[in-house]
Amino acid sequence: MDDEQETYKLWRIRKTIMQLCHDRGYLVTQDELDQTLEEFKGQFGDKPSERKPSRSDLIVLVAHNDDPTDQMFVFFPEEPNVGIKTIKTYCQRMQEENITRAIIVVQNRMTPSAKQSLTDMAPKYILEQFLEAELLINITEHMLVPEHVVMTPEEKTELLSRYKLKESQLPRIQQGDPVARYFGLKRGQVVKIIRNSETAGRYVSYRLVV
Amino acid sequence: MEIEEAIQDFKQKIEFVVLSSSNIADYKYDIKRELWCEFTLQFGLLNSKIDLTSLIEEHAKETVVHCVPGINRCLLKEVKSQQGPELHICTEGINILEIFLYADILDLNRLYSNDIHAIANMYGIEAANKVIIKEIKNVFAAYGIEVDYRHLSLLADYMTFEGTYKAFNRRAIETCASCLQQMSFETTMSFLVKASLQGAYDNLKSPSSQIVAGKPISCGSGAFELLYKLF
Repeated sequence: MDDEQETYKLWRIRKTIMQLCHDRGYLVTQDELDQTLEEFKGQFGDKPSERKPSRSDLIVLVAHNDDPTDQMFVFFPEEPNVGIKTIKTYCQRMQEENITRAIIVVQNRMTPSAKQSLTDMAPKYILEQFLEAELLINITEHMLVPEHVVMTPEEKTELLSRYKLKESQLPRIQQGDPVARYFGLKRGQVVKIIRNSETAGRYVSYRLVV
Repeated sequence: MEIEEAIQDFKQKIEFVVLSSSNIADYKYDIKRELWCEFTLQFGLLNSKIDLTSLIEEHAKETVVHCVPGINRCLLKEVKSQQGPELHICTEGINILEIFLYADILDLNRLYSNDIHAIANMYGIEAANKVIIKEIKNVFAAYGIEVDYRHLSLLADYMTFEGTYKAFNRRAIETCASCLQQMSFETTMSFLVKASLQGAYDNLKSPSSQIVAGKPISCGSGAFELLYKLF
């Protein structure tokens, strides 16, 4: 793949990652959200084949809006197939800096043992993996995807008591659902879904993460 | 120096092609952009019954110039929209991740597929919900029947209730809690046998099971009971 295409790809991926962090409530500046391809080239270079930028230059560290100690890493491994060794180095780095959350953007695929190690580390360290190919696009901008709002535990209890519901009576969303992964949802959380409806204008629905 | 090398390369390529078959007399190709090539074929006047057209057609079918796994055919269609005519790409088969690479020329936020599983895997269950509504609507629209949106949204909500796309058939109804409702749907005997073997329990809360048991269903005027003052 030539440099032009590769730079374009990296720019899109990083842009989606920034939007993802913003939507999860992490502090991202408006400049970073609106970064154009030219600005990206200016900041990181435009020759990925000569490691300008290399993927490790793209690393992101963001802090949460409400709680600055709650930070999240976004790693971009160099190798196409990520093995357990890379995960270990990332983990060490997280331990050193006392950060419990990270996203790993995989170029090609992750080895099964590396995937297993991610689940082993939960719930102390939460590592999520995304493929580069799926981050080229921000799926929440698609016309078919309605607005999803993650609810706080307080809002959830209020919802359940207001409609006299048990958790099991709510519609469900899988933890592996693309939108649930985008927001990094955990089992038991509830998302509020605001759909456009032909008959009701706006129609609010809820889904429980399972 | 470079030009000489290029000429050498050019000659070598031509030689390679001409020597590869005794029937090829001459070969030329587009040196600058490699977009075309030209063959001269020679055959003896005797004993040569060759149908070139069919041979070329056969080879053209087998030769792959460019292909995207999962997509078999592709058509460009002009569609009239509110902003004037616009071009749509219609494909037979689907490969969403590959399409993502062309975000600069395609408006991917309006990508649509009737493959509900593909949409659910890529854009989530809520997007699949909308596809279900649209697809059922289209099925009826083909016969000129318009179904009220409320019916369709109810159906779509039911089919996506569990967070996965659940089909509307007797396999999917196995996840239903009421065994009498399962029996009232299809294949009564097999569901009855299964329920008896498992010692299943029905709390008579679902409308179907209430009808089976001869009870008024608990909705509308059956949602409550009245207590009379007798004296």
